[in-house]
Amino acid sequence: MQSIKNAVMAVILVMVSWGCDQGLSLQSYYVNNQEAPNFISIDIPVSFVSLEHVELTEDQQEAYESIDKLNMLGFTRKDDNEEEYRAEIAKVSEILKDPRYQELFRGGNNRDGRVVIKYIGDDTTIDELIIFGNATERGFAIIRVLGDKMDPSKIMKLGDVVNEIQSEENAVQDFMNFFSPTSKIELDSLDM
Amino acid sequence: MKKLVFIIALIVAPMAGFGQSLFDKYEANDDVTSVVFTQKVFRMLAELKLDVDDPEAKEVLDMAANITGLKVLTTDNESVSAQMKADVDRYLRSSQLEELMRVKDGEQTVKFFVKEGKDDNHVKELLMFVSGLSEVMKGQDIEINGQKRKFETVLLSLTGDIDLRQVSKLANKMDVPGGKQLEKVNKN
Repeated sequence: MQSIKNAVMAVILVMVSWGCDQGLSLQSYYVNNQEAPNFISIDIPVSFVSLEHVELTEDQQEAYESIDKLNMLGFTRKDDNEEEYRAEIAKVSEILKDPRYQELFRGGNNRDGRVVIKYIGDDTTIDELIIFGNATERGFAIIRVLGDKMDPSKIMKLGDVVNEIQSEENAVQDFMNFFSPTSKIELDSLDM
Repeated sequence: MKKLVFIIALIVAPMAGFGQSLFDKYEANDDVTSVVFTQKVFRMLAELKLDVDDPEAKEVLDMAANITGLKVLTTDNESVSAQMKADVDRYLRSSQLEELMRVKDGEQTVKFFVKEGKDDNHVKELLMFVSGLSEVMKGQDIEINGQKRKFETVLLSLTGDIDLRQVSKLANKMDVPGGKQLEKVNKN
């Protein structure tokens, strides 16, 4: 029995130390690549979106304050960068394997592309939401919504407010256009 | 020692549903499109304090809280379809699933299999296997990214504490491949 215990302990130790070794986080990946060729990045602090002239309910106010920023990193696929494209996707996938990132959804296929939605948080609140999608012809994108204990039920109520705000739409639209005019539709359809 | 058994049970339990490895095998296949919703999604869905006045919608949400996973595989490749069918047959033989119903509609066959749950209306697992869909969709010219797609085979697995009376309503609300066929589930 003792030897089994030891073996199990050894396995656990190896797994733990392997976990620590991974080091590279999505944040450092973002920082390392935002200036790199083929990449485009956008970082929008939510405070940048002025809500002065919009009336918020208490829930909406709380939701607004729980969101910190929106952070996007995109990679455009060109004729000559397939190898890099694959390598970068592998890197991001490896980072996202960290059990800290809990999976909500994944889907797609190898031909057209895949989407993974993960988050950091507990059963009721989200500290970070990550959408990682790739379209074989166009490239890939990592979209992160960062915040502190974001409550999905309250965030949903913010939806009404978003319709009233026009100020940031242009920046987001530019980001989408970076891939192609049609990609916005695809990303929209991800909304669950 | 008891603790250890418990931990191992915790690790193994989520794999007990529709053969995890079988699903992984097809998920990586070039000709297969997959959709996976994890338990977390359903848990969160149930936590959303939606203002539901509609008692029916509330029932569906209550049931969603007890779902541990939804997985769908679709393929339009004939040889993969055949392979999938063989694997499903093997899986059905080795598990305690029994046939719930079978719908034949022209060239399309939809079969439902369930694993017995706490009572007549509840099951632990619902497996749906649709084959021959291509005939049905032939006239519709469904296009995805400019390419014509006709799904030959759909394999859907729903696990958790599933109320069969709510499945068709849930299917109606979730936009997943095979959802239309799933709406056929009816325990009456």
